[in-house]
Amino acid sequence: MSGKEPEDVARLRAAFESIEGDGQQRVDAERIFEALHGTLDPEDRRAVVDELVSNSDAAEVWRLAREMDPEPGEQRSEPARNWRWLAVAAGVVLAVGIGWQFIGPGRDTTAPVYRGVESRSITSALPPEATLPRAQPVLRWNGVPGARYRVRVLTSDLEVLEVSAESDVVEYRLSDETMRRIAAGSYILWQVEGRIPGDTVIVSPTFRVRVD
Amino acid sequence: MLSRLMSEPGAPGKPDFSPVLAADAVPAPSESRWVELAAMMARAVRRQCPAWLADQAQDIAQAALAKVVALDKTAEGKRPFTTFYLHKVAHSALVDEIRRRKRRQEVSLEAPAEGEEETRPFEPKAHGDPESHASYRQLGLAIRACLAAANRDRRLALVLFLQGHSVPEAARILGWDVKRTENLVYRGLADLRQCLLNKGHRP
Repeated sequence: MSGKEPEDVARLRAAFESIEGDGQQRVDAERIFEALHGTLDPEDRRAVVDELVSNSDAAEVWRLAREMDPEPGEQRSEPARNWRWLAVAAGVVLAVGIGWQFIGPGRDTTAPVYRGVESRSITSALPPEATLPRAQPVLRWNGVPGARYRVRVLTSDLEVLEVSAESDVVEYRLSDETMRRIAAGSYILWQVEGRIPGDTVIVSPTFRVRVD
Repeated sequence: MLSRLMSEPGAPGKPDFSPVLAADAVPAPSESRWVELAAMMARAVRRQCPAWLADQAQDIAQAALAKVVALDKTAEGKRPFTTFYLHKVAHSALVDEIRRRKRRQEVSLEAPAEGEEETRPFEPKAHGDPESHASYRQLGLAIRACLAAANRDRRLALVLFLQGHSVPEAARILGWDVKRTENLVYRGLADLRQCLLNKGHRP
């Protein structure tokens, strides 16, 4: 998984997401928010995740919680405050034990981020209601700093049309061969995977655009 | 009272939601506390609100604050409201509204902000012809059936992976190390492919 993702992953993801909730199953959106943003203990988080298989409404709410992630820092004041006090207490112990000389002014007192879920995201930069012109079939997105991108393009029935090579450019031009395979007026799905060296992989939602 | 607190300067007043929100239903806390809470809730909603729903942000913030008021009443005004808690309640109110609109298939008359159209959280991911939509829905149902029968740890790792999380993200959510999670996803995918083939689906 640390290398390139298998070709069928985008298709499996899209198929998994295609089962939308019907609003009939009970969903605790607050608990899902807590599970995704890190305030539940691990076993409770696992229980919430396990429910996503049998409860398509819960899976839908999970996706919403992921996509609507508030900015880091704002929502985390309570745990951050707790960590900050721990840091202060540790600092005091350190001071008593080994003296001030080891506590330099450059010491990092920033509270650690307690929640590890990626908060950066990749979003489409195509204008709303855009139709992809056949003469200029360029997909564009808003990236994240330092990332290199790979784009997967699929038909609306989830056949992979093409997968780009990695690039640091935040746009991708579809090949002529791909364009020949897309009927006029049909939709394509596309997804961007951003790889940050030494960091992590950020996968965009699946975007949809109509080709003229 | 809440309506007054939530109203933007110059905005027309909104009627109260229900009797529980009436001024006499609000417990002991000082007015200044509620003014502060209302402002925080409005910020929490705005921060998470999709652009296409922005015109409803004030109403959604009111609904969220109503929940806080009810809880505060239950706790006799002793419950502390953290920023995280307010974000959680705001998020829940937003999700309720998004899902309610989805059920009703409502469409905003206002044009969404640039780039928003492609990422509406509730937007169906694909609109092919009905036949192809049905076929990948069948695949989705088969995936769920395979996952339900899978080893629990592999299932958990794979569900998050299929929900679009990277392996490191899934590892952090599940409380496992990355290597183990990567292994579970790898094996889980292999199991899933075989299961789908057994059910007559091409992965």
